[in-house]
Amino acid sequence: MTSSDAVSVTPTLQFDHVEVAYTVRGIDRPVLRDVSFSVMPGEAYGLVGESGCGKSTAAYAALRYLPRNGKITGGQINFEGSDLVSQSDEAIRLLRSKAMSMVYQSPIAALNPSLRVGGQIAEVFTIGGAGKAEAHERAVAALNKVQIADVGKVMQRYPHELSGGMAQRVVIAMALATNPRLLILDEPTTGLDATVEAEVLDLVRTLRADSGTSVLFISHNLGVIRSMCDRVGVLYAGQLVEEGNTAQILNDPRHPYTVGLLRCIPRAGLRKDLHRLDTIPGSLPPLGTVITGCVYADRCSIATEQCRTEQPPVVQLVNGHSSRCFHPDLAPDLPRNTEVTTVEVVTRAPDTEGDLVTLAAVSKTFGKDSSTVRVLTDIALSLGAGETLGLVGESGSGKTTLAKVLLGLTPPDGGSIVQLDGKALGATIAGRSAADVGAVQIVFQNPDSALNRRHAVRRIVGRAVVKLGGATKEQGNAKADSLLSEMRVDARLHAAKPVMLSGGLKQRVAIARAFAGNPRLVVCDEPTSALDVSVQAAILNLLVDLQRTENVSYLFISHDLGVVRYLSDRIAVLYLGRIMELGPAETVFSGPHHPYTEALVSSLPSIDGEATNRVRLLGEVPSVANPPSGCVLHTRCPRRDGSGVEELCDTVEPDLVEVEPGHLMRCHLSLEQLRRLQVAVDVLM
Amino acid sequence: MTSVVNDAQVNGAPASDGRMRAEQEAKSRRNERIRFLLKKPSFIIGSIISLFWLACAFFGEAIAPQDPFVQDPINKLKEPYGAHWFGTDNLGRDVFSRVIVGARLIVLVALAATIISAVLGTILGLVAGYYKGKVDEVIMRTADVFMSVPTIVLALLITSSVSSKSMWVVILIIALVFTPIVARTARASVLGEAELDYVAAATLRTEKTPHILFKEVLPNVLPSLLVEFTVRLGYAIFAIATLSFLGTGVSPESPDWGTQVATHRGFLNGLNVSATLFPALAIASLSIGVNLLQDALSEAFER
Repeated sequence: MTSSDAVSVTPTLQFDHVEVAYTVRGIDRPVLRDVSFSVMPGEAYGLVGESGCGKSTAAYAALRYLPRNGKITGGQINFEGSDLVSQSDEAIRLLRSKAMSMVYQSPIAALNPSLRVGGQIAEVFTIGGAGKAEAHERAVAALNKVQIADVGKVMQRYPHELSGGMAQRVVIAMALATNPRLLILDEPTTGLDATVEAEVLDLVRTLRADSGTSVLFISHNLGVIRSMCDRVGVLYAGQLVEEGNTAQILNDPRHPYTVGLLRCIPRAGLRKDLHRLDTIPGSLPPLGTVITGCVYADRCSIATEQCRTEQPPVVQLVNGHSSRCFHPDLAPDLPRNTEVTTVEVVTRAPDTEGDLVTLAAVSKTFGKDSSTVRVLTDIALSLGAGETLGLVGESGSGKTTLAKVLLGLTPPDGGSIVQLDGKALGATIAGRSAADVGAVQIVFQNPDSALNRRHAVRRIVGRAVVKLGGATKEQGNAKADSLLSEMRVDARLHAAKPVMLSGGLKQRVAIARAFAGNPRLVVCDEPTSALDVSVQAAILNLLVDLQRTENVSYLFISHDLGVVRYLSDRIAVLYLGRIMELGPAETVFSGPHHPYTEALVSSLPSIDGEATNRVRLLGEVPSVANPPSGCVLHTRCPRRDGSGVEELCDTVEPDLVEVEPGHLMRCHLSLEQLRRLQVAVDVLM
Repeated sequence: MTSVVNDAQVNGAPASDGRMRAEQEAKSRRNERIRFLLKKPSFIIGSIISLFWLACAFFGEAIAPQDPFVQDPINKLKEPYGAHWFGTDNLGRDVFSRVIVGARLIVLVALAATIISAVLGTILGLVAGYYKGKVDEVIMRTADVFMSVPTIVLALLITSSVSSKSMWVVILIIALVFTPIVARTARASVLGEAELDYVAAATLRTEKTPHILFKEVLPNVLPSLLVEFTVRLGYAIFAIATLSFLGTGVSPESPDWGTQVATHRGFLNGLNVSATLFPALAIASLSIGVNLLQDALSEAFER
């Protein structure tokens, strides 16, 4: 750590060769190894890495709030120059209540479910010695600061009555209530919608600019890190492998791990048919492994004998950029693990023979009589064989319900048309033939929930073969073995239960099951959102390969627009159960797009740091039970004001019309009008 | 902490040692519960006590040193001495042998009642928790009605109204009272379980509901049901002892612990202690043994 330019300034937080270990079954297992970094006053420092690399441990160590079996076994953690490790518990408590605070990943879990929000915020001030009335007043002020609209009402609510974004604002308000000098944010937007994420990040940015608070920002999302942080440290297996300012790390990475990680990410401009994602071989060493050489040597394609036996030094590059590698100069040209491209162009012209799946006038209403909620309204879609349709929209937009209707898990309203190969599909599973059920399958979001933990992997897949293909048990198991091997699940694991597999392997099993009944359409419901990026890349590659060999169609649901853009031929944008825009992926992304799509796209934090036109949706998603009149977006539309058709927007619902060949939009504004507005902003930025 | 198999081999990395490590880990994971239990004193002590009484229940006559029915009026109500380790009762019968043989009724009746209630309760709970809605309402509200009546009162009511005093009446009464309690536990675990995607995945391969309930869901809720089973067993022992103490259910001459306590408690005022004490201790020890087991099991499964 060369404190080159800032000799006189004391860092707000400084890790000095910190070692942290967890005691598991009587043995100390190191989780942080020789970690050194510092967060300067007013600086935002990002820690990135995949799950299990020690990010959160670093955060807890900074607050000296490790789990009971965790301890700091070496080094110093300095807060404004004084060592935290040696201080008394009482002194630490005081520091935590006044000088530093933390925002956790799950805001709902961070709030006490049985107390009203207002009381919980006020408590922060009463602990600080304020009277009841004063505490209340300051709580109101704190909520105002995080831009909550109806503060009085929000104070009276219980945490479960808040949306995720609102709850995170409340948590941030509590964290900032005491004007801390250090704010630690641990994955604060993971699990939030992209639009909400953008708002929360905007808020943190504004508050930081106002207060000058130092921020330690922990995230696995490099796009978020790019938009939030001045400097970044990359953690791998508890070691800081690379450090530098954000642009250096993301544009010119000098550690093989960082290079590999960046290549795994499907970013703008990459397409499934042109650019195969790179993957990182192997996996994180298990917690507590004794490592003699470089922590990354086992997975590094340029590792030498020296890397396996000797700890690499921290090599200083230019301007505070450092890499813990013997060969930082070779890292940018790291050989790929997958071929760069494998092009037989997959992008399909819409099938002239007729579509594989046709949806027309599909609606779904829950409840009956007076209390009905219409979650899908008049959906019309078609999907060609071998085509991927991306389905995007905020949570509550009806994505999952649409998937369930297709699968036959939820019957649509009468009059809805769901066809496969031109023949009507039964509304429920019971009304479909085994072949039809097998033809439409799903890969669920969370493999832990989707695989029965009591059953062996072979049985999970084999049973599907038996039931959907009419095979005997022996045939089913044999087919299961070959399917699993095809998904590259090692033969030795076919008899294993899901617990023994990593997240990526579990998802491979789930994919094998979906392919057991010779599917024509596979619904992918956020299949990679629970996985790390390097694993995600491997799964996405597998899906692309399967599509090529099996000519299967995908309905790909995801909130990760980068992934959707990479994988989809066409994209449908859903809002409050209606298709707002439908068109070829690149057209939908590059614009001119529907105002709602525009807001979604501009909320996507980009790793490449290109200027995005920052259009934000106003307010919260209206309730599906009580959708706004006219165009359902008009209450939040970024383009309504000054469009000249406000009256129309508020009263008449626009139809989904073809604005250019193959590109449908539900908006009163003309394509030309949108193009002008959207270009204008791009220029302005 | 838990090393799992990973995508290593997918990318052709040097994964062989990682895989082996994972296999070993998995094997040890399978035995983890058993090892945990074997290290737990409450499990060991509970097992020894319970197994001892189970052996007495099946082989009581072989274990008992004397015939429990032979009367010896001259040596009645004796405190323990050489020939009679636990003394003799009001008819001069050997208390030790009667306690040993008396295990049969309480253990078998408790087991039978608990097994019946576990099976019925599990089925009802599975159905209620899986179908929800009206089915759930009907089953659970009926269960509430049964649960609102105190066990002993209901049992006295029924035993006094039926003429036959057979073991089966007691078994059925206890089973009837415990079934809704088991059903409630089963339903609670099924509610969460049925929301998981593997249940949807099973319907997506055209599985019938019974298969989903018994082959998919049941194995996942079995641990909590096993714990509930041992809890019920403890209560059943208590209920049977109470009933036979109150003189219902079984014929008075059978060497039953509750009956023995009831018969001899009149002699406690200075005449004889052991004829009351030892059957009472037997009830307590069985109850404690089963509860220790339950304690250990619930800790092992619900950690």
